[in-house]
Amino acid sequence: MKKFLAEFRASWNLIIEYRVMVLIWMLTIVLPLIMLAVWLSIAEKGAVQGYDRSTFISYYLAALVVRNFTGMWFIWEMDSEMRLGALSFRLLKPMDPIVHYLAYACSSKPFRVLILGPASIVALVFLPGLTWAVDPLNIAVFVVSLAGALLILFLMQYTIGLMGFWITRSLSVNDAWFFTYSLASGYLIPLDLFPPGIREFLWYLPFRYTMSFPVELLMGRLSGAEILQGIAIQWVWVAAMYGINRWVWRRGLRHYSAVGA
Amino acid sequence: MIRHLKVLAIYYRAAFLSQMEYRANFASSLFLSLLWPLWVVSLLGVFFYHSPDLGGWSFDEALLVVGLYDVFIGLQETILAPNIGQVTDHIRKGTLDFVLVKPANGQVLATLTACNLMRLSDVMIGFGLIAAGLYRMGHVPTFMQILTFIIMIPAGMITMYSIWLMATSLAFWFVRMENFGEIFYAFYETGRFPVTVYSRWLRFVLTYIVPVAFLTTFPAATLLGKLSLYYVFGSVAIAAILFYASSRFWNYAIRFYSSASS
Repeated sequence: MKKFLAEFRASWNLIIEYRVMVLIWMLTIVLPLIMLAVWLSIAEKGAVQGYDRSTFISYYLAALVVRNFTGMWFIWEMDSEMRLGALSFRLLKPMDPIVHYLAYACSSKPFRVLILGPASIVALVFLPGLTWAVDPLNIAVFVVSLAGALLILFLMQYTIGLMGFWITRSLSVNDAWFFTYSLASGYLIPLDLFPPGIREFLWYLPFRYTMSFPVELLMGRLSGAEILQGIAIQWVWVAAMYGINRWVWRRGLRHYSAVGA
Repeated sequence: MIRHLKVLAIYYRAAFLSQMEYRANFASSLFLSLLWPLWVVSLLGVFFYHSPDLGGWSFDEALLVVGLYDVFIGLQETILAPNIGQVTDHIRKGTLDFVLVKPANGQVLATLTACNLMRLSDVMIGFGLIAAGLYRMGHVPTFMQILTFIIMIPAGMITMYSIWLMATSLAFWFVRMENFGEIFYAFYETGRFPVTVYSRWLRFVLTYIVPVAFLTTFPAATLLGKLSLYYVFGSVAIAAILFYASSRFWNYAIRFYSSASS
């Protein structure tokens, strides 16, 4: 834990330096907003499967909040470290590199809380149609689900990054993964609006638990039983992803040392 | 003009030869480009599952718009993006002198010579989507429709180049300009869908202030015979005005360049 905190502080200092960049970058997460604009024009003729104007607005604003708390791009750093050999130095340190990368991925999050916390309160005050369930218990469960979502996304990206042990284009794999994620998680389209067969299929994939689940939770659309079930499935996915990740890590490390580092 | 094209041809041939050495790159970029139609068709599919039209456009007609979006993304990644990276690097490091002292037009050399031919795959896929849309509708464009379409594509390209050039020129004052491009890119994202789907004020912005509608929606409409000639002249006029203004701005901004050596 102490190691984690030290690495965290180092990365956090870097984030502070580039805060203007982070700000602009946050402003430009526009595609969900464009999807929202399109849905609003469709919803003018009547609610879409129970989603009306204010539901759509609440959904996509919640999606932006979840994305900001869970999104990460440490795979770029990972890729360059693996190709240039900096990973060898990391292996010499008395801790697993996963700690460093997790700290790196989390370091931008306090900044996001500082920005998005007040922004959400302003939105709640000035958009009376916003249907977010903000009682303390729900917020607490929401934070737990955010942590689970962040861990699933982190482990997925870390595992894709580890593919760099065998292939040189792990970043392309990550791009293809992001295409899938943006559709299958509910980031661009609420999963409720997919045709029935596809929706049930997406229910069982890990993607739902990285975006749609926390969003639905924040909107208060889930019953108590659904929340418990969702949290359970989410953390089973966290455990499964961790297992896969450790397996790939061991195999990759053996391969790496075989090449001669 | 001919002279500029000859110079550029030499640069592009050299880039082609060096990039052909990395075939795995080309394969992986082609693979990603093939994912895109799958992705965008599912996106459109969900919209049309709930609504018979999108701002007055049918599914097949909307395919033309997303195809054009892909064409312009491809052209932007092939020519504009690499040059922006190159010229902002030159400005930051103070090495733009080496480009400016060469015996050819400085603007051409500094802002057009780099290229990433891998991304031409997007352009091909984009035209494929346009062809698929036309085929599904059974619409054969008339000669006039094809002619106006062919005029609007380069006009759109010049419009895009001019907007990027103005943004890049700001790098002479503010060194870190990469993010400014991102803001234009944010507007450009709206070009994925027909502009008629957006609310009135957004449609106004996208038509007259950041002319994204002239890149994707209007060329698609002209190919379907849904657009008056007035807009075709409009797109040429916008391209000409922006090109003139941005070149003037570049030449003004370059006076503020401070070199590393002189």
